[in-house]
Amino acid sequence: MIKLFHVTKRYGRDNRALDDVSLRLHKGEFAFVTGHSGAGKSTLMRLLFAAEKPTEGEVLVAGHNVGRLDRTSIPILRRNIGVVFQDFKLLQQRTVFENVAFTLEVLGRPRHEIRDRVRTILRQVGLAHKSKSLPLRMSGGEQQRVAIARALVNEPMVLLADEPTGNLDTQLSLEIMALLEAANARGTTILVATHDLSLPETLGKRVITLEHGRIKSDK
Amino acid sequence: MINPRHIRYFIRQAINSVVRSPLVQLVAISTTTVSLTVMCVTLVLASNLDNLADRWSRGLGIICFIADDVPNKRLSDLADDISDWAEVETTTVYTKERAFEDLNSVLGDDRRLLVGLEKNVLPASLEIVLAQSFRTPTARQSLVLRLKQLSDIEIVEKVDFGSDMMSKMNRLREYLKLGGLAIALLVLSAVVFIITNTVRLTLYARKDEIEVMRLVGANGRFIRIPFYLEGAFQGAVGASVALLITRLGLSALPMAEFVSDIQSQPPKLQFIDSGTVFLVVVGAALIGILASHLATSRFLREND
Ligand SMILES: Nc1ncnc2c1ncn2[C@@H]1O[C@H](COP(=O)(O)OP(=O)(O)O)[C@@H](O)[C@H]1O
Ligand SMILES: [Mg+2]
Repeated sequence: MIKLFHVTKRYGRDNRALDDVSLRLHKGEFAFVTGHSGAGKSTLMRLLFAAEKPTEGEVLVAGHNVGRLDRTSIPILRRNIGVVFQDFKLLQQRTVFENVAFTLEVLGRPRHEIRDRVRTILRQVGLAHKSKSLPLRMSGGEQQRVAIARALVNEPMVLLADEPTGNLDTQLSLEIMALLEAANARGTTILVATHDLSLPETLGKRVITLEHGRIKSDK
Repeated sequence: MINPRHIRYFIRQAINSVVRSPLVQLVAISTTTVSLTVMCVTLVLASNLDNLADRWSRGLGIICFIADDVPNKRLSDLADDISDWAEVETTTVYTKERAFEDLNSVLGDDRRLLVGLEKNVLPASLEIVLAQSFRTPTARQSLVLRLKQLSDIEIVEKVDFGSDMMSKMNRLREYLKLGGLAIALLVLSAVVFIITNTVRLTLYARKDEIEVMRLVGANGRFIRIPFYLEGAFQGAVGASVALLITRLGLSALPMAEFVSDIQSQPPKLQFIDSGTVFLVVVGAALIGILASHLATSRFLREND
């Protein structure tokens, strides 16, 4: 589902954010990328949803050669990928329902289908009762659940989460992880970047550790 | 292709952005209006001056004086023949009798000067108005030659400087066209500049939203179309208000009567015709779309 083949990403001349990284994630896998701040976790994630192009090597995601996509194909890739960030990236003037519906609206799905699917996913993340709330009025944990609902509502093949629990305490982090595991159980391949080493340990998942842009360990 | 389910969304987005920042819209539309008013006034002036010039060069026709022994019947046959020529728009027959009457009425109170003159003292004549595309000195010259080959006719030109006058007039009309075009280009680039910058403001105000759109897989067209609508709206409203201002300004102008006084046929200052009005509004809307396209292209490139 995800494959990196000798990928190097350089910013400028000799700042190697990623240095000859090769790795493989199978369909339905759930893995973590960890490492200290500046290790290259975010860069790896950004390569996967085509926000950056690799300087060298090949990046394959859900059957797309991501590094070679042109402008018009990138949206097609992103419709198969859900992304979640530390800062949620919710639209503040829109309600929870509208934020989640946005993914489907962009795709031009029929209204009744949008309504049904948004309701279902909001129920799954435990926010059915907040669908008319504005994000600013909600706690960090709730906002992240809205962001996850938005990322999952189109049933993507891959979910990428960059420090999804960076702003949350341990209890809330575990709740978020439980949501991701549920999505994984429904078939979505999941990759989570985090500097919090305790999370993958608690969950007992595969951990890829980066250091200075290189893979230090993978277990 | 545009998904029909998106249309409601596009319209809603465009309305939102107009409603959310009314001040920006007001500034955009009023500056667009000012620029387009300059263009409309230019358009009206140019088309009126052009009409005037057209009327003048029409007056620079050819007068053929007819030999005394040609009967009126032959004269009108001749006029019919000539008016079929491609270079000729119309011919008017002045018999000896009509020429005398005209002179009589022109003289008014001084007509006693004519007492004792015979009614056939003035020669009969044909007045020829050149067809539009033949109102050039050379075409006029060759028409004169062609006429001279007809028997019964002695050519005398109405005004000696007819040809000279005509080329001056044509040059004036060229300048008018060029000047109008230059002003139009200037105004249109000003409008593109204004709308591009307004749309840029809106784009920056909605930066987060556009980022999310791209993350969830919206393509460029989906992101752009609401902004196209916004630009078209600004252009069309600006043009409509500009046309209204020009129209009202025109009817308030005392010039309208002044011009009609110095002309024999009363030519009122004309507003541009409804076809051109339509063209100006649609054109401004298209310019608005072009401006939005430039703004969004640049924005999407910079914030890739
Ligand atoms: N847009 C960028 N321009 C220049 N350098 C960057 C850019 N993004 C990341 N970097 C550099 O790449 C390295 C890895 O960054 P990042 O992937 O954000 O690490 P992490 O997410 O693990 O903290 C860092 O040294 C960072 O300074
Ligand atoms: Mg990071």
